[in-house]
Amino acid sequence: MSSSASKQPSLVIRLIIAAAAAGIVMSYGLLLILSLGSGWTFPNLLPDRMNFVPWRAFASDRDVLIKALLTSTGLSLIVGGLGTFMGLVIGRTVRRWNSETVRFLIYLPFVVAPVIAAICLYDLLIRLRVAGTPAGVIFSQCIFATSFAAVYFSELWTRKTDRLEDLVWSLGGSTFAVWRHVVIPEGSGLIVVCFLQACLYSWLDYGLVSVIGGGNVQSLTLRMFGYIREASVNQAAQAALILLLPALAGSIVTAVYYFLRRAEDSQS
Amino acid sequence: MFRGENACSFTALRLFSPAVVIALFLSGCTSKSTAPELSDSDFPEQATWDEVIRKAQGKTVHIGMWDGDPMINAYIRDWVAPRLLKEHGITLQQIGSQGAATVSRLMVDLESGRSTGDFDLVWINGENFYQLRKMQALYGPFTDRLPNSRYIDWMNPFIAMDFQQTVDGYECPWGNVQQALICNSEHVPEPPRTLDQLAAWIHQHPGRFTIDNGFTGMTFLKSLLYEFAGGRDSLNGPFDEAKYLAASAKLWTWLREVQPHLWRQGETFPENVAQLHQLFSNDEVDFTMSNNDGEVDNKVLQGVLPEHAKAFVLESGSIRNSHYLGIPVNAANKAAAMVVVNFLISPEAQLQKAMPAVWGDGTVLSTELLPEEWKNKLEHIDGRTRVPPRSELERSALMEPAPEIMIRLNEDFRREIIERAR
Amino acid sequence: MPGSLSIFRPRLNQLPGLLLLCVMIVLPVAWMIGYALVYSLGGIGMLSRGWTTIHWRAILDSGELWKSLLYSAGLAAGISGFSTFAAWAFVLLAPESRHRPSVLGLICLPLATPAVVMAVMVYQILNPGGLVARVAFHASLIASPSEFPVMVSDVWAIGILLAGILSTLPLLTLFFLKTWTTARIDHYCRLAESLGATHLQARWKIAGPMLLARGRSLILLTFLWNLGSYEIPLLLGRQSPQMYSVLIQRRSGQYNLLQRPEAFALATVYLTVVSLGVGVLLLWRRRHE
Repeated sequence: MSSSASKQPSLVIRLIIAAAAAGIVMSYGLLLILSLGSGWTFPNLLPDRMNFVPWRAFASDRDVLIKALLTSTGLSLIVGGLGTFMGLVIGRTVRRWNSETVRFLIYLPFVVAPVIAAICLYDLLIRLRVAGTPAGVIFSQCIFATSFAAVYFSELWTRKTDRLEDLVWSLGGSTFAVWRHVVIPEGSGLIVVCFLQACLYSWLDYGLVSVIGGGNVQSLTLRMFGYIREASVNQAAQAALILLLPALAGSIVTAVYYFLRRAEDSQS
Repeated sequence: MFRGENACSFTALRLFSPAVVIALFLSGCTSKSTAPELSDSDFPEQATWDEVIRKAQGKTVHIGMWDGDPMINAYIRDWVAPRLLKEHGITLQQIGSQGAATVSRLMVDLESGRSTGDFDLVWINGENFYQLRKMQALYGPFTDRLPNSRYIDWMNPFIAMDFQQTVDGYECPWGNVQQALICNSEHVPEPPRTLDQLAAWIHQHPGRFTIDNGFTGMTFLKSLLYEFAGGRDSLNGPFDEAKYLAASAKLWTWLREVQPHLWRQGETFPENVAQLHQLFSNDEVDFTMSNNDGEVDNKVLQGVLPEHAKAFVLESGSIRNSHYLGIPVNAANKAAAMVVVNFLISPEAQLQKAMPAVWGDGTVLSTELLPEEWKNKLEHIDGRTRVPPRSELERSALMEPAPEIMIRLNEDFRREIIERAR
Repeated sequence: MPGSLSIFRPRLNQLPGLLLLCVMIVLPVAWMIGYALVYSLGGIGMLSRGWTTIHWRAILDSGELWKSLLYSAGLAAGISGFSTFAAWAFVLLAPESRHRPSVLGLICLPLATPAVVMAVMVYQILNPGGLVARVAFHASLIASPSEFPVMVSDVWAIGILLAGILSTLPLLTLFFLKTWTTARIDHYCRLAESLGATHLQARWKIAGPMLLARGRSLILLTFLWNLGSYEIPLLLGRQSPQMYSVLIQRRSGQYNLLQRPEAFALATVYLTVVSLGVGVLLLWRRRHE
């Protein structure tokens, strides 16, 4: 057991951590404060009027934020699910092939900037009659989510799982049996993480939805850029906070899970 | 273990995909310029206005428009849209898209033969109109079918002509505005009135003046271009390359002389007028500008601009123009789009839009042609206190020059000024 | 005969993967590259006048391509380089942080923050009308926003660098912390110390190189991601030079439609560059596996 776990951090490290914490509180706190009021004329430190207008508008659905929130949620869940499933199928296939060319192909969308891809793919999506529709956005986001998932699974799938699969095949098991008894149980942790990451990718996407969606698919990121174009500081801050929510929730869940595990480990 | 089968799988893949892609391209290459086919049942050209209204019921109209002003967005969303829904059962949805971006999207639609596009209605201006007409991307002529078009001031050249082109019924005027500079009257009690005075002021107050890199900034440059071309009317008529080159050379020289004294030493410019307004209200600059002479009152009421903001125009004049609404040729709901346009040019909607507390946008209707009740209302709109009256501004009005000038100014400003900045 | 036939018969259970790979990845990527190339050469396009290299010559002659590409590569290298150094140094100094919830929490929050939100935060904090300028005003350090140092849309791209580093640093830190455990670096350091190395020597000569070797692929990936960054330079960058994605987006929607193929020529160059990047990445992995 390493002794470094119990070692106290040096003063320098503590200062770094404290400075990082202060920076984080200042940055995210600023977003929160700006979202609570209207206007922010120089040199006021607080909004001109602390009247909760952005959140009241959100609650009354006068703005389209609630609709954007639902749109983004729906898109994320669908893209997360489809991308994870397709990426799992492809990733396992790629792993079996062990071909550098195929590996190259699945990596490529992973690194291409979505906005550039959207400009190049727009014509294709028009011909497929899905441009300007949620289906078009889902399809284009799935390309990248699938690529991510394929890379993820091809890299992280274990040899133990491969051997279990081979064992089931050799005993006469069907494809369904392989998935039911090997793939899902063995890979459940990886699948859940991949699903969450793929959902997050869609949730945070702006490049694809702005081009492919054609303005018809109003996601949260699109609304946020709309407020930025209007120079609506307060509503841009509000939209930013809403965008952060799933990620924050994930961090809290992870932290709670971590603490629970630590508590269990220390008790056992 | 699977190498043999993997190799043949992959060989199949390598042969398959390029073949499909080539087939797709060949199908694409054959369609260069395609105006989508319209069936008669989509929209009968001989329909009466009552039939148009019936056809429009229950439809959704997607309007592609600039969404950089929250007051304009609020006017559309909170005043226009509910009335359209109530009176005609039309749902109006706003899509943020401006100028060249709108034209690009329509172009891709036509390239790929898309029969129903994202927009049923587009808010456009001269150079967009020019490009869209060239591409045959606009439906029309349709304006003479709108009952409210009888109130439009078609005799006014600032309305009937769009960037030196006759509109020919392919776009409907929606508002009429004149560009104005807005200054901080506390810091600038006597604003410069000529180009020389403006240059001198910029030299004496480094970092306190700039223009935006968007439509408003380019419109300001156009008004300066008139001065360098020889004054009012000097740029009227079709595009003249030689005249443009001579005038623009002087314009770039003037700009380069003041550039080191501009905000951020002229090395970067606010991306759009909303950002310029923000710099002005943060007291980073003493001037902002607007294509809409009524915007100063509107923005002060909104709290975006401070109370001391005052608008004026240079003696050399400023661009006055109308903005328009067009219907793309691949609009899904042309009848509903026409009903929306007719509503937007109604006296009621034009009056609402003209109020400084709402938008402050000038009307395109002729008060002479209106019923007495509306004539009185439109001639006596309260709240215009920070800008001279329209009748005074009109004396300095310059017509929009040919659309090629806007296209060239955009490119040349980037090359001559932005990319040469130290 | 059966032998020659069997080479054309893929295993049935590979077919779904093959099909999905083709539909979801190969075809779209092939379309992207092919469409951009053909459009840039005038093969398609409403205003195209036929096959031509005029658009390629225009972007190569204008210098905008190289300027933007070098600018983007420089910024991406700066972001990845600084983030790598900072994360590596932190983990070398405090590997025990991987057991501290406070540190993990501090990493997770910016890690979960999208690029656009990061850009908005940096803008609202650092611009001359932002939070720091207002605090400086109240502290009587400046009398107006004009006196505040320019850190957004500036010539040194401070805003872009900061937002990029804040987005990349947490990922690399988390990776290095995890690698410390999975690669059992503690064990190797203790081994080195038991053979006479000092604590500092063990960290510098054993732990440091191990972390960098294992992080090689991720570092290159972060470089490629930052090369194509869009939201951050869109909000925090200048008009010239522009980062590559912003440049392509602007050129694809500019007033002069006849120049639209130039945007696709730029896109073709970008796709080629990232393809080369991915090729290098996979080559490294193969050599070091």
